[in-house]
Formats: sequence, structure tokens, C-alpha cells
Amino acid sequence: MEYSVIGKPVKNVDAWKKAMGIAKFTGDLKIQGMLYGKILRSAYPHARILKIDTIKAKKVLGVKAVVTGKDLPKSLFGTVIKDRPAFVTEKARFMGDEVAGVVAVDKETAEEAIDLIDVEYEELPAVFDPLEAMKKGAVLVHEKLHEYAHVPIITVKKGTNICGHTKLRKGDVEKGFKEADLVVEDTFTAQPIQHCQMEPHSVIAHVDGLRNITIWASTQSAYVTREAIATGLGLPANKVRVIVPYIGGGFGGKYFLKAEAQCVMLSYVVRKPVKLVLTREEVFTATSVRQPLIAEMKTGVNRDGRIVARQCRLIWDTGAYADIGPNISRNAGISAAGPYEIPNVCVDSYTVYTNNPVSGSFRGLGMPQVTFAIESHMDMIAEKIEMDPLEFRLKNVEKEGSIGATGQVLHSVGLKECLQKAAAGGKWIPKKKANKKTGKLTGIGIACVHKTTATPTSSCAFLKLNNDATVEIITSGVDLGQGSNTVVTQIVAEELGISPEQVVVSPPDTLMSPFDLGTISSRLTFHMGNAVKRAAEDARQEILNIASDMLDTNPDELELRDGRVIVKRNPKKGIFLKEMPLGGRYVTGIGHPVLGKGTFCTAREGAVIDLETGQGANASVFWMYGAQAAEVEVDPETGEVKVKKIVAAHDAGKVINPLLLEGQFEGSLVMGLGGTLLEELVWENGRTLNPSFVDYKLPNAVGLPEMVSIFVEEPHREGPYGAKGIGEPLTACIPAAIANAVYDATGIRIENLPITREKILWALKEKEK
Amino acid sequence: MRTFKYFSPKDVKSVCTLLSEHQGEAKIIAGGQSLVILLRQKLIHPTYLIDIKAIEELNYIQYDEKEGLRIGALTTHRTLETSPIVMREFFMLSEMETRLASFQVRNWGTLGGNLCHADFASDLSPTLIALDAEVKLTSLRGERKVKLSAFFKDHYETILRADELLTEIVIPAIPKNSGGVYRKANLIETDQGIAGVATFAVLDSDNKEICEYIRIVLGAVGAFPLKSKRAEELIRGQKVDDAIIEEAAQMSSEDCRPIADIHASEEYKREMIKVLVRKTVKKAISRGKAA
Amino acid sequence: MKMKLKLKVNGAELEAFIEPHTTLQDLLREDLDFTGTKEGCSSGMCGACTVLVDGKAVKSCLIIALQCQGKEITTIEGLARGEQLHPLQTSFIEHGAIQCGFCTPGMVLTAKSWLDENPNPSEEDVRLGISGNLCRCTGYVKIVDAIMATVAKNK
Repeated sequence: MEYSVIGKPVKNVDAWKKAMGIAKFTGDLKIQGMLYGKILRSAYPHARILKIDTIKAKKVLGVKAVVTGKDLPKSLFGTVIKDRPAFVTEKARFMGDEVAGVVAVDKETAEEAIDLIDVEYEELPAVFDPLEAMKKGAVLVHEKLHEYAHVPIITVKKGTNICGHTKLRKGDVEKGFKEADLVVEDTFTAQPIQHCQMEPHSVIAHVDGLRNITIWASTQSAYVTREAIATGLGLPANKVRVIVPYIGGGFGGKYFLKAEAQCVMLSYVVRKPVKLVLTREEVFTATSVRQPLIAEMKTGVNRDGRIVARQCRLIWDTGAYADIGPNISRNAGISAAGPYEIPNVCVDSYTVYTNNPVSGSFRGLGMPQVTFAIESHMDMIAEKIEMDPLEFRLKNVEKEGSIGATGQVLHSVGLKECLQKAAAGGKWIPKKKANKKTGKLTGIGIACVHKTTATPTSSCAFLKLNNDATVEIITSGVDLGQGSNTVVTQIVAEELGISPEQVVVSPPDTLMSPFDLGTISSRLTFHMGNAVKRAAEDARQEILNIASDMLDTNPDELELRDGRVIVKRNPKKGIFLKEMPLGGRYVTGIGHPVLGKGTFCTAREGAVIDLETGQGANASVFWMYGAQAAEVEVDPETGEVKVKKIVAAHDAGKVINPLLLEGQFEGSLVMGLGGTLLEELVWENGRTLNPSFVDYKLPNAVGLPEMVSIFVEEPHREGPYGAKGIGEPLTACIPAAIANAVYDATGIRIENLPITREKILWALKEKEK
Repeated sequence: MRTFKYFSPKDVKSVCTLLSEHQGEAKIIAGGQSLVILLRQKLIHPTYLIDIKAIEELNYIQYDEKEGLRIGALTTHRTLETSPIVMREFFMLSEMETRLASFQVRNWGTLGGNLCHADFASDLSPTLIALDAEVKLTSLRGERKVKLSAFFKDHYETILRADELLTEIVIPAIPKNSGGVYRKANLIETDQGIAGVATFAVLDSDNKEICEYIRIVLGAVGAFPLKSKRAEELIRGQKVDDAIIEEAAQMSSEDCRPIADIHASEEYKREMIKVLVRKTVKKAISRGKAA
Repeated sequence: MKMKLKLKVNGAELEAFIEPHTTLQDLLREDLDFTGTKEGCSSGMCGACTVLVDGKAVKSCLIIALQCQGKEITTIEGLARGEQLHPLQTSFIEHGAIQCGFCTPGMVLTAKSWLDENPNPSEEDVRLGISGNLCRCTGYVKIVDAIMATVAKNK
């Protein structure tokens, strides 16, 4: 099917403003009468707050208020579990906990006052190891866990630190293990890392004299933020307005409340707009991090390569508050067995509180960590049964019509093609050799991934057609830079036969733009895309109805092309859109303004999984698949792993914009690289030792591999033009692909991320002995 | 950061006067690429800040075949990096600068600032020490010259007195058959090293196979750059082959004093010193032979 | 105590009275409303605050504004001539080198300053030139492509 705009490398519609530096991010905004906020955070990972002395702070010239939890309405916030106050009153549960806040005329005054607040703490015993936290008699992070309101789809265990337990039961694993030729067991761990969006979290909140609240926030969801604030404060939704200006990256770290509740509370006290911009250190320690994982994998396999049974026990450290933790446990839990046809599967996925920094959604929602475990494990099994790792995977991969671990009949499964293309692109011949000239050890590794999208969710869109044939799309999907605004522009241009330049996308504003769950879970192209497509189709129908009166034909004899309504059989006959009576002036009795409306929702039977078995016939409206091959070169003198080439092949359903999609590939691969070789949040008794770019190493432009992006298209019957999501699984394959390549090169198996030079060097020296 | 009283004196004498007046309460700011971080983190709160960045009389590179190189303390890293004279006559210096921090930092940060900040992992100091550099310290009381190898006392501490300003760096002229190189083991580009080695070798004028003398300076593995004395003595007057290089590398790794941190253990840093000494000695010798 | 600062910003002569500890970044963003210059880390590591001082790329978060007495500052807002974009800006747009856009101003200015001094760089040279600018979105590929394309066009 040839499209005029879909599938074309249309330039990012927001690029011009950003290139000129005139795109306004939240921290760039100034609201009349605006004051500045600053937060004082807990000095201990677990401590009772005995006394907060604010007298000296209040006396500083320019300070308008010094706020503690006692001055505020008793509210608990949280989208999955309502377990978190904006400012703690009784005890602090981690070192990022907000103990007090200052509102002042400028940043500096606020900082000065913060330094003058004296807090008396009583240190409490703390727990930092999730395995310890799960034991009977462990220190409890939330004694009142059972009293918290929470969404019905999760389970919390009273009197423990377990705030999520996802179970998946398919077939009979014990029987499977007994029947299998071989049973292999391995345990893996993934480290906490941070999103490091270049724009730190920023909020401006204005609570007016009547408690109407306006929030400008660097957030991935206007509506989730609105709901969390409104329900936390017991206000009706339409008293809270959330606007999202340009946002400098999200990657999951700006989903759910991060600094918004605190900023709202500061404004609540002074009833003036308050701006709160977090420091980079606060972003590292007090927003969210990627869930550390302990994954125990056990697989029963036959010598012919068939996987018979798989058991996974996943332990996720969600830190001091739940944030999205239980959802990660669930979404990654139901995917934990990997994209393979396995008749017997048992998964127990636990979300555990500790006094560590809070973890939240991070591009891949648990899949990068889980995939590291699954795909390393797959290679280790392949070796034991003396089978090529690629062949072993191909023998077991899911395909169109396979029954997944949740009982869902799978559709749009491009996995086999992804594996074959990734392997071919990388010249799949496991190397296991030393380069005689350079002395470096070279190897190649492969890994594949599947990932769910949050289901059920929904998106809505309005389309406003102006009488000069320009269009405004009104939606709440947040463009984090991935290009969702451009994608919906292309969809509207395609459906209405106009050029992308004639389309403008509104910024998300809950007062004016209709519901969209937000930019998470790689869901926008599919959900927002469908909503916008429906709105465009709706508008198109209206236009054709009006035109049919004007042209004295039936609407189904007409179509939109190149800015005109034309008669299909006689394209010379038609009217220019901009000459149609669509608002303003009506010369005859025909015409009216055209508004398009579209709603797309994936609520359906089987979307909510069973709490005991994890079964759900529609557990995920689409699954995403991909595979990556990595070629590495290991320096035996230093242990340095240099990635020479990555070939990534992912199934997008339908590529709507190849230029933007390639950008997603490249950005994700480098992010994955960082998380595998360079990045690690170092925690010691709840304290982050490296909360800055000096000591938390991010990849820069030097020393990056050659990256090859291969698009696979296995159309999804419900996706706009067959498209589904892609942004997250792109980061998930790298850790295992590299770990497998390192094993190929050196014979060293690293089971704990990150793969550092030291781990490799000492292991190599050990081997030499 | 907290505020301060700000001065921008126009010449060296005015700087020294101010330093003398406000001893202990004043801080000098040159490029500020290290100092501003300390101010922003509130690790220091000087009452007076003396801004010397604009003092043109301290911004120069002068070369004399016999005397060597004289560099004004306010010369930026970038100026040193791109100076045709330095690239031609003291290549290892220019080469080291190309990998020092980032382009932006090199555009504004100064050599004097780097040396006086005395970060134990500086790339500049071991390189200059390997070239036997001296620094000139100026005050109202006069001038004194000190070998850079004796300038550092401890982490972020030098022998600079409270009323003194570092005004010049002097590198003696180097013999023809010599070569040097600085290499570091860093985790990413722009980083200082978790270990660094600057090596400068002078070959025997009659027999290029013999190394007349060598300087091997170890960076980031002590409170300040350390001369690897045993290794230097081992190689002095000897034919340099793989075996002697290996022994020198082993000695260096034993004699350095690295501290473990979150990026690397003490053992790893020692191992990297071994690797870097191996590499730099080989390279310095080969550059000397090619000269 | 406030002190007088006279400098040129984006071609316009300006006079400001500022506290001596004001950074160039705060002067530009807060006092002069040039919010195109970003604040990413306030520790000189991310490069989002990069501006040009007398044509040279520097990190404005690490510079005391008073050091710019009499100097000429160029921020991203001063790069285009009205709506006529600088070739680097056009190249970034055309090559898909801009995603969230937060690193873009610093990245473009650094590239401009680097190319002004290195008009014929290799790809490795360009990567070294922008090694002080972090980007979390693009993986740097299209940024390097955009800069190399500008080099090719300039020839």
C-alpha cells in the first residue's frame, strides 16, 4: 500500500523551535508573581522525625514560608498504592524523603533558608537488601501497608515489605522438570541506574485562593498527574489543571508524581505560583531509578533443543515507596519466561520495599533487567546442550498464533525475522578468537526480547479544521522527543489529504485536551495514533458530507487528496478544502464548522490478568519483538570491553517515520550500552555515593560502536496502518547481547550487571592460572 | 553559592597586594573551571575573590632554543594545545591537552589554575613534571622558582603561600634524541584517569639503543604525581628491551600509592599503572629514536 | 553588593547590575531571559549550558559573569539571523539530530565553535569536539551526521 505521508522521513515538527532555542521547557517559564521552592531531604535512610526547627529559616529576608508536613492537609499520594505523603511527618523512609520546604523570592534565598532548618532525627534500623526485607521479622518500611488504598490489580502482603506479588501459572513445571533431559539453574542481578534525562524535573504549581490548581510540569502524563494530585487532595478533577510544556526527556523517570505534590503543597501554603526545579543530585537520589533485580531462572530442556519448563523467581527492590513498582513486577513478571513457546511456566515476581531510593518506570519497565537474565540463561543452556545459541532460540521462538505464557493467542510476531536479520547483519559466526595482531579477544553475542504494552489504556483526540484548511490536533499525548507530534501530524495529513505543514499539535492541557494515559509503555503511536486517525476519519466524513451537497454526489464517491475534495472517478471535478464553508462565512444554506472526534480504548475481556494464574486472553493489546547482535573486542590487559558493532532488528508493525524510528534505535542502543558497561548507582546504607555526572558515567560521543538499524514489519491488525510500539524493547537486548559476546570472546560469564573492566580483568587472570 | 567581595586587578603587582592584604580570606579565580564547582557546592566560602583572568601579561608562550619554554600561568589549555611551537617542540604536552577534559573547559581553564587546584588526578602536572618543569611564584616579597615536582604537598594542597601567585611555568629545552608521551586509563573520554603515566626519555646521543635517562611520573595514584624513582634508576644508562620495561612497570605498580574508590580498586589501579608504564616507556623510546 | 557589567549579548550592548557571584548561566537565563541556554547539571559536565564567549564555546554554569566584562556572548538565540537559520541548525533539523531538544542549543554552539577552528575535521575529531556535551536521546549518531554534513556543505 503506497501512502503519501505515512512511511516517509518527515522531519520532526518541533525541531525548528528547539534548534532556535525558543521552545520553552518548564524551567524556562516565568509566571507573574512566581516564587521559588526548595526542599530539605532526610539525612537518614530510616529515621523518626522528632523535631523540625524552622525559626531561623523563617527569619531570612525574602522567605515567604517554611513548610513541614504538619502545616499541610493529611494526604497520601500514589497511583498504584497511596503510600506517600508530600512531606513526611512521622518518619523518613529514604534519604530523598521530603522533610521540609521553603518558598522564597528567589532560588538563592530559598537555598539559604534550607540550610538553616534544624531537624532532630531518631535513627531507626534500616533494610537495604530486598532478600533481607522479604524475611520474617525484617524491619518494616511501611507498617500500615494494609491500610493504604491501592488499585485492585495488585496484591499487598500485610505485615511485610511485599507490596506486589505477581503469579503466573501455566501447565505444571514440576512435571516438566521431571520429564526434561536437563535442568539448568542460574541467578542474575541487574544494578540500579538512572534515566539521566538532560532536563531535570521541573514544576510550577499555582494553588489559588479557591484551591483551583494549575500545574506546569515536565511530566510524561498530564492526566495521571492530575488524577494523582486531585485524589490525593480530595479535589474534583476539574479543579486541577495540568499543562505540559516542552519536556527534555522522560524515559519513564517523569511518570507518576515526582516533584509535583511537593510543589503543589508549597503553593498551597502561600497561594502563589511556586517554581521547583530539582538539582541534578536530587534527580539522582530523589526522583526514581531503575528497579534493581534479582532473577532466579530454572529451565528444563531436552537435548533436541526444546524448552519444556521454565520457572522464574524475580525480586524487585522498589525502594521506600511503591511508585509503579507493583506494575513492573506484573508486566515483567508475565514476560519473564521470554518470547518462547514453553508449555509449563511458573513465575513469582515480588515487589519489595527497602530503605533504598525509590525505583520507578525506566524505559522497558523491567524488561532490560529480565531480558539480561533470560537471554544470558538461554546461551548458558545452549552451551550445555551443545547447540548454537541462535539455532536454540529459533527452535523455540513464538510466532503468529502461538499461545503465550498468559494464554493469549499472539498476533503480529516478527520475532523470527528479527533474529535472523540481526544475526545476518552481524555475520553470525561465534568467534572465540584472539586477534593476533592487536592481542584483543573478539566475540559475538545475540539476544532477543518481547515486551507488553500497558493494557487496558486509552487515548482520545479532537481535530479542529480551520476554514483555511489548516488543522489543529488536540490531544494529551506528551512528545518527549521521540516524535509523537510528528507521527500524528503525518496521520492527519494522510487521512485528510493535506500537507504536514498545515497541521499543528496542541500541547497537553487537561483543561482543553481530552484524555490520554500518557507517554509510557511505547503506547503513543498505537493508541494516540488510532485516536487521531479516528478523529481524522470523523472529520473527513463530515467534510465529504458537506462536499457531497456542494458537488451533488454521494459522499462515498468522494475522497480527499492534495488539499481538495475530489470525485474519485473524475478527479478534475472537486473543491479546494479552503474554499469550503467550514466556519465563518456561509454563502448558501450549506456548511458548518468541522470537528473530528476519536477515542481508542483497549479495555476488553481478558485484558485484566487473573491474580492467581497471570492468565489473560488479552493481557497486552500488542507485543513488541526484537533481536540484537553485538560484536565486542576485549582488551586482556585492561579488561575493557569495546563494542565494535550492534545490529538491531525490531518489529514495528509498520514504520510510520523511518527517520524518527532510526533515532529511537540509536538513542536506545547507546542507553543500553551505558547501562551494561558504564552506569551504576552506588548505594551504601541507603546513601547514593555518585549522584553526579562526575561519578555516574554516561556515554558521550566518543568510542561508540557502529550501529545498524533494521526495521521489520509484521503488521498489527489494530494498529494505525499496522503500526505498534517500539521505543522500549530497543534497550532490552543489549545487556545480554554484550554478556553473551563477552563470553564468546573470553569464556567469562558475567551474571551481575554492569560488566566492568575489573570484573573481566580479574576473571581473565583467574582463568590464566 | 555565597557572595563575596570581588576584585579584578589589572596587573600582577595589584594581585600580590590584594593577596598580601587579605591573606587566608581571599581566593584567586583564573578560569574557575574547578573553583566555581567548589563555590557552587559551598565547599569554600572566600570573603574575597580576586579575578585574574583578564591579566594579559600572564597570557603568553615564549620559546627559546636554549632556554626552553616559558608559559604564562593564565595561558588556557586550548592555547597550549593549539600552539604551533608547543606542537612542534613539546608534542607530548599538546597531545596530552587534546584529551584533557572537554573543548569548552580547555577554552576557559588555565594552566596555573589547574596546577594550583592540585587535583591528584590532573593530567597536566605529571606531564609537566616529566618535562622537569619549574614554576615561578610571585609575591610582594619577591619571586621564587620551585620545581613542579616539589610544588605539591597533599590532595588539593600546594606549597604556595597565602600571599603568593603562580605566574609562570618554565620547561627547560629538551635534547634532540628524546621522546615523551602521556597516557591515562579513563572510563570515558573527558575523564581524568583512574591512573595516568607521563614518560619522557632521553636516548644516548651516540647509541640510540641506550636510554641515557628517563622520567616516569605516575598520576592519580597518590596525593600528587609521583616519580617512579626505582623504575627510572633501573632504566638509566641501559638498553631498553621488553624485559627491562616489564620490570620497570612492575616496580612502578609496587611503588605507587593508589586509593580505592567507587570506580576502581587499589589493585586495579596498580595494574593500570603497570600497563601504562609499559605502553609509555615503549612509546617514549620509539619517539626518541624517530626524533 | 551589586556590580556593573558591560557586555554584548547576541549583538546588543548591555549593561547589568549583578551580585558578583552571579554565573553567566544565571545572568543569561534569569536576568536576560535567554532561556535557550539550559541548566542540566550545574557542575560543568553536561554541556547544556554552553554559550560562545568571543566566539569560543564555554560552559556558562562554571563562569562568573563578571569575567565577561567587555566580551561578546552568543547564545543559541543569537545564531539565526531572524528566521534565517544557521547552516548547523538547518542540518540538525534535516538529519533528525533533535529529539527532546534540551542538549541542542549547547550542542549546536559547541559544534559551531569547533568547526570555526577545525573547518575540515574527521568524524573522530567531531566526536572529540562534542565530547563535553551529553545527549541521552539520540545516541549522537545523527548529531555527528548533521555536523559532518555541514562540513561537507561548507567546502
